[in-house]
Amino acid sequence: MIPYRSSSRIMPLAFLPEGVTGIVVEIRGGINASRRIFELGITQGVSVRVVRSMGPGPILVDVRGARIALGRGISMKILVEVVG
Amino acid sequence: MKIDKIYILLIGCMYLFFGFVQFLNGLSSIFLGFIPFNTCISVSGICIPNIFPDVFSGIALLTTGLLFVSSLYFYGRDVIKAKGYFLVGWILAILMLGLNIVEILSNILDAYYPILFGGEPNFVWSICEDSWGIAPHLLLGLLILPMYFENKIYLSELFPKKFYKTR
Amino acid sequence: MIRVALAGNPNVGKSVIFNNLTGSRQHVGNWPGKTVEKKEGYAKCFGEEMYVVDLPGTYSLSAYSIEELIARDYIVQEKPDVVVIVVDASNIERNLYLVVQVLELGVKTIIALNKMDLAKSTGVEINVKELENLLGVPVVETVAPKRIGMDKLCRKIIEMKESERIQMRIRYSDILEGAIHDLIEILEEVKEFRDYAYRWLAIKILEGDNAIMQEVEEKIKTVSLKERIYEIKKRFEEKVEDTEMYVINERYRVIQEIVSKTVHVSKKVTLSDMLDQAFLDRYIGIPIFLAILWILFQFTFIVSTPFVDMIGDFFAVISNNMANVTGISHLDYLLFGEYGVLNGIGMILSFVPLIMALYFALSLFEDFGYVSRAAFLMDKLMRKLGLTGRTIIPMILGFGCNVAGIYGTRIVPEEDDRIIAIVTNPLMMCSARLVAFAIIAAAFWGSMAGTILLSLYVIGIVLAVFISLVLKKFVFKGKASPFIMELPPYQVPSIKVAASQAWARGSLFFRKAGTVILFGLLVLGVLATTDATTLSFTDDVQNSIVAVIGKMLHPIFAPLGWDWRLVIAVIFGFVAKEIVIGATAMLYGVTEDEFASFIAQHYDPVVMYAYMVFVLVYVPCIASIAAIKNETGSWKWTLFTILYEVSLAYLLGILVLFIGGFI
Repeated sequence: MIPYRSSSRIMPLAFLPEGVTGIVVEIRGGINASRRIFELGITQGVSVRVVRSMGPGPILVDVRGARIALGRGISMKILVEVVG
Repeated sequence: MKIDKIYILLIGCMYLFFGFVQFLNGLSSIFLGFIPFNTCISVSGICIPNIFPDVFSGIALLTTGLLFVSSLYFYGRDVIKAKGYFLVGWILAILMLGLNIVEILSNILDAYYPILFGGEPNFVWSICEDSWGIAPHLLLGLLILPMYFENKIYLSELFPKKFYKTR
Repeated sequence: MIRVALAGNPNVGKSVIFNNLTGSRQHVGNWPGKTVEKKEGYAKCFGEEMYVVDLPGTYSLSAYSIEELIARDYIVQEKPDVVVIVVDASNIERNLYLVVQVLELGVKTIIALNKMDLAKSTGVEINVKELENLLGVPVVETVAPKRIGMDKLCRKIIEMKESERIQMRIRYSDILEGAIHDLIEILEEVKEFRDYAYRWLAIKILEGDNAIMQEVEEKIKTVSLKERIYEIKKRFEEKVEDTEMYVINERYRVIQEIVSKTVHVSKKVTLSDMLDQAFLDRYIGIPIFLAILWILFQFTFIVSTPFVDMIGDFFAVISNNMANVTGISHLDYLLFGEYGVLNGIGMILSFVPLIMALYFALSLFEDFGYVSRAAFLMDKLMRKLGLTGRTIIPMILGFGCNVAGIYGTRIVPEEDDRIIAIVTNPLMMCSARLVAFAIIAAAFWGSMAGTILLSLYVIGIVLAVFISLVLKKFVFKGKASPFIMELPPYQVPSIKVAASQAWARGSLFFRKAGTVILFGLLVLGVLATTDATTLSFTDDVQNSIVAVIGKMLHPIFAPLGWDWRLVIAVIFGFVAKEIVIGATAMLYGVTEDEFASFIAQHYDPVVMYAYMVFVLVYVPCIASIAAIKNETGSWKWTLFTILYEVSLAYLLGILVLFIGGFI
């Protein structure tokens, strides 16, 4: 378990508003579900910026220089620490 | 720069207008069997523009018009969004311009190809009888085309070749 | 002959490089027993002959997707001389994840750093020399569509073949390297693994890779060696907890180090971001999608029409002139008659301009980058219907021609979803059926014909959704593929690539579907012109074997209110839906023009509607069936499609009559 510095700044990626950047702290769910996520570069410690988050539906993020679209389900499993 | 915006507004509105007419005409010709609006503004016998009834063509024109008009709306609040909307509208407009040209060329080919094999033309082609002819897509597309020069910097990212020097 | 394998992430321009190397000397097929496309070809560079295989685009070399297994099995088992990894320079960090894994394999590798122009224009600067140094492999900068860097790439491949094994420059953490070292010591003693790349094997074992662990368990006969392997793995597990995550993180740690030393990004907002403001907007994105679809279709039909007409005229002229060439009426009719071989070839050929135009335009849009956006937009809606976003494209294509739709399912990545897309595609009412139905609808319902046609479209779509949901839930056990997809940056599409795609698909169709249709037409032609009693030639279909079959089958279809001629028309429709009207008219002894008024007088509208529903659903044309067989690679699914559609069609026909009885 990762000790949280300030729990109010940690939330699922799904809740991050547009334009905000977060650092991935934890990816919930088994390795089988998350494998795809890792292959596309979303791993612990990587910085993720939300490019588009429009209500229900997939969100678009900027990760390691690429644009990745994530479904709501997956983005609920990715916990990030908000940095700005 | 104000003139540019008025120009875009005008063209955008024309897209909206013609698109709307096409859409309604198309819809009613399928379901009700007749065409309510006059689809031709005759200029020495040629329909300019030729607003042929077609539901999807209407949607395409409407969307393009909406993109242009919206881009002006966003100009004050979110420049990136404004530019984005305009560029996408421009791309659609150019695609439709190309489509119109291809349509005309294809119809000409369809009429006259027998000549290549020593025969008689299938039919005599003329721009007034062409199914598309000088449609709004052609006209408005040509009008918005020059906006390329103002937006070259952005669009050049699509054509990055000049950025890279051969070794 | 130098054996080269091309690897890389999807969308990096791998196929353009493949085309640059092989030109027209390439062959497209499937990997044996799989639905994944295999491209192989021959190249000639500076006098050297090369055999090039284009491996499926993958993000990784794990054991968890077919594409990845194919790619890594090829490298491990076939042992190509050189592996060229195509890397997208504008997206380099994530691309390196695959590179690092290929390097673990210890094979001779070259990196083609592609899209250098795009990288530069989006403000990404890369120190290539330092990159070569840190990775330990040659890095060739390329701009594939302009062939920049291709010569250098060729030279490097030839150099590499001659050179010795490359050095492994990449080092992971001490804990990991220690475990790797220990494992390699043991693996070197295992005779069953003699030809394997030990380092890669060791890492895979520590990762817990399914396929490799299975091989360790099953292949190694010496128990003591096996036990020592498991021992080391266990010790590693005790130190790091989640071993797979640890290895993945290690790879990225190494990548991040490399990137921080070699890559510098200056720009922030790109053109792609701006365009996506509109393309991905949840409101205006949809009408944009519809507009683009419309443009796609219009282009396809407009461009292909003159060519289709030309082909039609050409074949009409030939068959008129050859009408009685042999003098044997049966043979003449078979070869040059209405439904003969010559016209059959003509009909198949007339599909080709359509398919080529479609793929040309589609390739342009895909190259541009729009297709993935469309899939993104549609995904939420599609998921509710048991499909994925990418399925929308082949569904739309199917409305033009089911053959195009079925081949178009290549776009769908997940195998399960792809099969569902293929199997439900024939329910999309193709243009051939539209033509036939339009004539019937106009005859019975006059100005309301449009609504009737629309209702048929809707029925097709509803059925497709229903079948997808059922298949997804019961056959594929509701495996919800998580939605995660990369959206590549926009770029100007390459006309060359589009043209070669168009040509490849068009000729593939002609060869594959063509042979099947021709065969079907031949069989049908013989049966339709052979008198049932005398077995001699007859040009009156009513006396032919086909008529006998029709009359025999008639009782089955009697409940639907058909007479035997409609049954035969349905059999003709099996070969190609375009000939249904013509065949039926011929059977009734009327011309095609009189046909409309004729059936209006002789048939009840409800019966006709049921007939149209049946024809809509029952079985796709023989070309589509051939396409299904090609794309699924199995008879199982092809037969399943035929069976479920015929049964469904029959049931629906009865249902329509039942409901119609109350109206």
